[in-house]
Amino acid sequence: MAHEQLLDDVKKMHNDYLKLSEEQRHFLSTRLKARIKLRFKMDLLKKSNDKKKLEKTIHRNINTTYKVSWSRINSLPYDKEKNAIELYRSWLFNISLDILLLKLINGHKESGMKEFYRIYNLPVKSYIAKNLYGKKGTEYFNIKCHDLLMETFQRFERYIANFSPFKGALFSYLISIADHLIKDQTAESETLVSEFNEHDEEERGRVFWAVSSDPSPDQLQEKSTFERYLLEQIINEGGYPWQVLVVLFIKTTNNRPDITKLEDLTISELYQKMIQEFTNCSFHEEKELAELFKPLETQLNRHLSEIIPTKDHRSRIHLENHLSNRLGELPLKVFFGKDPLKNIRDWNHRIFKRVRKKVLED
Amino acid sequence: MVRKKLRGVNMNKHLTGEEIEQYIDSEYLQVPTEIELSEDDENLHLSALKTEEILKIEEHLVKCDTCLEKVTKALDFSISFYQWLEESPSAEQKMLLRILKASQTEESDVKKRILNWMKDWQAFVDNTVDVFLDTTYQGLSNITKLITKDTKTKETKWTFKYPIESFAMRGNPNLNFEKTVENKLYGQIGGKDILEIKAQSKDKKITINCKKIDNTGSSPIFLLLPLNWGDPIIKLSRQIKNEDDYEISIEGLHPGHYILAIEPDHNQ
Repeated sequence: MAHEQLLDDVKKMHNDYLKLSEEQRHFLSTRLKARIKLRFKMDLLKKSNDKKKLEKTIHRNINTTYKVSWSRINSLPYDKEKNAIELYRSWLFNISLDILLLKLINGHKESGMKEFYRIYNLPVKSYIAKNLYGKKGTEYFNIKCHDLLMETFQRFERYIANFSPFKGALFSYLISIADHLIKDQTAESETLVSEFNEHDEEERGRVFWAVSSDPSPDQLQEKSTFERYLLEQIINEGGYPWQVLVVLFIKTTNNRPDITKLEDLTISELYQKMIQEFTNCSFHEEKELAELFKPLETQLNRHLSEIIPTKDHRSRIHLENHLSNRLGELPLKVFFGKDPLKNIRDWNHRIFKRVRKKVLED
Repeated sequence: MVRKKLRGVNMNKHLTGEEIEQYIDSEYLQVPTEIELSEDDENLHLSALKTEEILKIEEHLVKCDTCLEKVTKALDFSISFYQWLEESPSAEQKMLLRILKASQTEESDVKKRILNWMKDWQAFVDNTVDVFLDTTYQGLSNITKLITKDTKTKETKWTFKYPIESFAMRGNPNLNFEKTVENKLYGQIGGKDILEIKAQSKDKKITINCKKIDNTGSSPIFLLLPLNWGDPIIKLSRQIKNEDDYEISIEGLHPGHYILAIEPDHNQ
């Protein structure tokens, strides 16, 4: 009798839960529509333009979301500081987004895999870096992390059929793959230098996982045009030349602390180094880059007092001992405060904000 | 530091620049919370949006194409800014860009054919010949030579045969070393001679004679890509003598390594 009562209670709870979920339909529907229009338009173009088809896709997604969420109800986050319904809606939306991504990836849609990589590459990379055994910060360690990251996504794509949203989130699945790879690495015995075999090296070459296939000539041209536009905007609108220089330099390297090691270089030396690095990774040739960087180069010969406007008291006070110097002669370190990494982060963000404002105005 | 708060989103009005920025930062980017900006830039600070505010913006976005377009543009820019240079172009992609750039000054038909030709990079590479003009190759100095790629990996109808591999001067040590090499290469399709390529060190010139293939299409385009420096040279072959023959000549070339690409017949 007690069991029957329990089963009845569960059924009732399930019905009540479905009612509660149904109240979120408008929320989920709006959010999914906006997401499709903004991020997956290329692959779901027909659907996003055809109202009926779009509604049908959304309807199916939401119904699956309800079912999945019920099976994963124990993973619903709880935070007494936050509104329970707010947490619930966000959790539901994340499930619906997983279902949408899964559909796109299973259908081999490029935008799905790209968005999936965009959302999760940094968290997965951090997870690998945190858990992988080895000396952090070395080039070898960074390469290893990058390779494992690529392999994680590669395996994910290969074994996507094994994933069930009813069992967990896409991110958890990615982490479990990364975990396996990390364990494999840890279990592997170290190869001594004397045992090095060129043949082995060839077989165990670095892992590359292309997020997308080779770009078409049109896409390449588009990337090249975008790079030109971005460079022009950053150089002309980005702000102080040393900040622009550092931000451009960090764009050429993933390892941000590198630049702080160059703090004794003068701005002119750093400029030359940046040009050199940039030539290797840019879509433009040296000649074209030289032309684009001309305004920045011109600034190197100007005195700091001419570059910093009188209304910027904070910068003038910070650099008051160097105002009569030419920018190119000054070492990078004079522009850093107590925390150079924070300075670089701030400069990057500031330039991003300024340029984006310009993009919106255009 | 004062951070700007978003005004209540009015569904009937278009989104402001600030609303768009706040929406993107809250929903798509992990914007650091403690950013130190100069006094001049403090207006760049925007607070994160609450779920309800995001929902209001999205309710507007699904109905308003103008705002959707604006947000798409700003969002694409924002994501690209952070991902920019993560995917550096390969040497081949850079070469492709050089070709596309050089094609901009050509007639629209040639431009279109080149763009179409470049769509299959492997096929493009398969139809190329290495040209060494008065330069060093595998330790040999001052040679002018035409070399085809490894035929095993080729996916092309072209085959090439060499008339003379090399001219070696041996014998009397008192004679001045005089090298008059006129390297020729014959290109065939199905055993039929179609091409004759000559690289002449003396005149710093490459001459190509070509027969029309299967009476289809127009004359092929030839691309000469300098690997060391300079812009790619695009040549549409000119008809000579009779209807079946074309000839092109590229003069005044600098010493160096070039790649000569021949437009496949199905592209014409």
